[in-house]
Amino acid sequence: MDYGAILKRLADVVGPQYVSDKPFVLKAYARDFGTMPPSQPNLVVRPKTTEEVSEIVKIANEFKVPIVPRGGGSAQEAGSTPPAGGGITIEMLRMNEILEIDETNATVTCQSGITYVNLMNTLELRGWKIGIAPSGAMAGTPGAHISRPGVGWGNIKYISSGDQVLGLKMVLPNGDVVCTGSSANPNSDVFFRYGLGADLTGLFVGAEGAFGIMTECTLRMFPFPEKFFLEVFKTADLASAVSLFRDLAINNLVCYISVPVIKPGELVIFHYNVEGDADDVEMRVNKIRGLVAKHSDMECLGTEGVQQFWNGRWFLTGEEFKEGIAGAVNYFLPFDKLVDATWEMKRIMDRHEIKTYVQQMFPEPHGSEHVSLLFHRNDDMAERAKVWAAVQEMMDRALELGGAPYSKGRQWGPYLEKHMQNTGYWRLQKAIKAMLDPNYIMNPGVIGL
Amino acid sequence: MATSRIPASRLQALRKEVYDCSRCGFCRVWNWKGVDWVCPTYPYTEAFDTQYARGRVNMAQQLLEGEVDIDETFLEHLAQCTLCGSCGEHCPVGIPLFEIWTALRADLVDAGVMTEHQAAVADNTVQHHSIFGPARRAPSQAAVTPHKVDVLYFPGCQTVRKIKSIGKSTEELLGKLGVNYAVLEEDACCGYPLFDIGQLDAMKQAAEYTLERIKAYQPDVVLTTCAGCYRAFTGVYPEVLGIHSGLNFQHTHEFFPSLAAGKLHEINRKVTYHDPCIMGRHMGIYDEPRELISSVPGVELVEMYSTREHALCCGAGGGVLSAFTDLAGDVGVERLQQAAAAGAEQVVSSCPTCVVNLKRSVAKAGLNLTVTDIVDLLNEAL
Repeated sequence: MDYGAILKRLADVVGPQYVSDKPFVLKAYARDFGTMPPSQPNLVVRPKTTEEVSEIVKIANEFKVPIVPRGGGSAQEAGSTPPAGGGITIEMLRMNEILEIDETNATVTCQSGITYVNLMNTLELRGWKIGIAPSGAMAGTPGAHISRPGVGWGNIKYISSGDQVLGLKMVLPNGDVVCTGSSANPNSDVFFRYGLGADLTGLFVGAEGAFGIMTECTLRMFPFPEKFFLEVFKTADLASAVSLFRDLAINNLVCYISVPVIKPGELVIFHYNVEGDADDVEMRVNKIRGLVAKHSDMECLGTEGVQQFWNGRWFLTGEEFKEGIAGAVNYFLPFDKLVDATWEMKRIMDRHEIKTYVQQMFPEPHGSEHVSLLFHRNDDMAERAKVWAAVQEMMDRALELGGAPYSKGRQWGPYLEKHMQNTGYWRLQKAIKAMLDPNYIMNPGVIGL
Repeated sequence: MATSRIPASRLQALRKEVYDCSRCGFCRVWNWKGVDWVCPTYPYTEAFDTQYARGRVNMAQQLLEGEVDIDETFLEHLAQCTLCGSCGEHCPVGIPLFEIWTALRADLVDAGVMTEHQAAVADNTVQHHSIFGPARRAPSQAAVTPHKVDVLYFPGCQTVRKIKSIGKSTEELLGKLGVNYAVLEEDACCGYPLFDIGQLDAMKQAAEYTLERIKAYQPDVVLTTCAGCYRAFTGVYPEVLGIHSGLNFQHTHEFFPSLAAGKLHEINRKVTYHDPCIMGRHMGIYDEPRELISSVPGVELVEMYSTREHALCCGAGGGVLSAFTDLAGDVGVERLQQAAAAGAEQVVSSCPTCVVNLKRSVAKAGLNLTVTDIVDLLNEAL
C-alpha cells in the first residue's frame, strides 16, 4: 500500500500538520485503555469538519485501506485501534465544538469529539444536564460512547447514551453524509428521533463505527436537578442486594445504583443516587429506605463519604487503575442471572490464578451491567497472559449465559461470531455491512464484522 | 532520521513509574474544578497524542523498549512540554511525570541527542554565563569589586537581559528599606534552564561558576526574585547535583514581608497572582506570595479560574519561551483571559520568565491588563 501517496491526499484535506506517519506518533495510537495487544496504524489524521471526514473516507475507499475512528482512546476492547495490518486512524478530538444549546426544545447538538466533562460542565453552567455520562468522562467522547452504546452514571433513570440520542450526523463508508432523526427532513432541526421512516439512528448506536463515523449528535437535555442525594450500604448477601436493586429499578426510584465492590459470599458495597427537587428527593428516599428495611442484612454506611465521591467522581474513577491496566469483561444480564454469573466469573478468575481483580455491577431497568476487571501491570507479560486466557474464557461463558456485551471492539468479535453466526440477526448485520461497506474499510473487525 | 537505542539510565530507574500509566487520558483536558486543559500547550500544537502526557509516556516506553526513530519532530513533541507539572498533579494514578520528563530529557542529552537550540543554550551558559549568550554591550557601571555584604541580590539571566525593571524595582526597594546590599552585576546563571532541557553537566559547571561569584561577597542572605534561580539554589543543587552551598537563599516572599510591614501606602487596585509552576506545583509555595500582595493596603486580591495547584502555566517554562515563542504566547493569552475574567487590573507574579511571557502576550490578547512582578508592586507601594 502506498501510504506516502495517501498521506499527501490526506494532507490536502486537513492540512499537512494534521496528518502523521511518524513511527513514534503511530505507536502512541496502537493501544487503548485496555489490555489487547498493540496494533498501530500507518497514518493518523485529525479532521475538524464533517466534510473533511467525508473526504478522508472517500480516499480510504479509493485506496481500499481500513479506517478506524478514535475518540479519547479510553475504551478497553480495542475498538479504536486498527486491525492487524494497520490502516488510518481518524482521531476525532479536533471536532470538539458544542454547535447548539437549544433551551426552547431541550436539545444539545455537539461534534462527536468533545469530551463529556466539557459538554456537561458547559450545560451545568446554563442549568442543564444530559442523561448519561461514562465513568471515563474526562477522556471519553460522545462519538465513542454512543457507538457502544454507552452506559454510566444514570443507568436506571436514563438507561444508556443511545437512549439519549435524538439524531446523528454520520459519514457512511462511501463518504455520503446522513442525518438521522427529524433532521432527515431537510426543513427540520433535530427534535425527535422517529417519524420519517425507519429509526436509522439505531443502526449506528452500538455498531462501534462498523457502519459509519459519527461527526455530530443531538442529545436530550434536562434541567439540572435542584438536589442530589446519595447513600451507601453494605451487605454480605449478594442475592439480597440484587433483589433490592431490582425493586429500586422497576419502581424507577433512583437515578443510578453503583456497585463498585462485589466479593461473592463476603461483601457487596453499593450506593444509589437520587436527583430532583427537594420534595421529590425526600419522597423517593423515604420509599427507598422502606424497601431497604425489608432486607435485614443491609447496613447503611451513611452519606458523607459517598457525597465526597460524587463531587470528585470524574477524577476518582481513574484512581481505580492504580492497580494497573485491566482486561475487561463487561456485559448485561437480566436480574435473575446476576448472582450465578458473578460466581461463575469469580471461579474462572480464581482458576486462572488472577492476582488482582474486581467484580462490579451497574444496574439497568431490567438487569445490570456486570463488570469484571482483571488487572495487570503494563510490563508484566506473564500476568497479562493469564488475564487474557481468563478473559477469553469469560467472554465465551458470558455469551453462553445469555449476556449482551457492552463495549465490544475487536476483543469480543470472534466470540460474537461464534455464538451468533447462525442467527437472522447476524446475517442481517453482515448483509448491511456488505451493502454499506463493500470494500470493508470501515473499522473492520469490530463487533465481529 | 536516526534510529537510536538510548541507554536511558535515568528512565530505567523510573521504569516502574513509566509503566504505571493506565492510558486513561485524564492528563489532556478536564474542563472541571478549575482545570481546563491539563496540558497547557497541547491545544495550541497539532495536538497528536504525543503532544501531551499520555503519548509522551508512550515515548518514554518506546525508549525503554529499544530502538526509536528519533527525528526533529520527536524532540519537538518532547520539548513543547513546559514542565509545568500539571499532568502529574492531575494524574489519578499519581505518576511522577515531572521526574519522568526531566529524566527523559537528560538521558537524550547524555546520548548526544538534542536540538540545535538546546545545544546553544548550554553553550551560551557555559561559555558566557547567560542562557542568552554574550552580552551585547558591557554593563552600564563598572563591575563591583566583591566585598562582604549583608544581602547579595542575584537577579538572574531573565532579569538582567530581558526584564530589567524587576532588577530596578528590587534595588529601589532595598535602598528605601536601608538594606546593606550589593548586586551581582556580572553575567552568572543559576543553570535552571539547563536543568529544564536535560543539560545537567552544563548546569553543574554553571552552578560551580556562579556559586564562586556569590561566595566572594560572603552574603548573609542571597536574594533572588526568580523562581527558577530559587529552585535551582535550594532544590536542584542539593538534590540533583549534590551541591550543598551553605548559603541562605531567599525569594521575595521570604525576604520582604517583615522589612516592608507597616510601611506600604495604599494602592486601590484589583490584583491577581499568577502562580509560577516552579513556585507552586514544584515547591508548594502558594500562600506566602498572596499574603505579601495582600499586605499592600487597598489591594484586592482576586483569584483566577485556575489557581494554586490547578493554575494554568503561563506557557513559557521548560525552554518553551525561547524554542517555541508563538506557542508560549498562545498559552500566555489564555492565562491573561483568565485574569481578565477574574476582574483583575494587574497580574502579579514572582517569576521573571512568567512576567516576560505574560507581558508580551498582553497585546496579542487585546486586553487592558498590567503585568508585573511582586517587587514592582511593593516598590510602587513603598
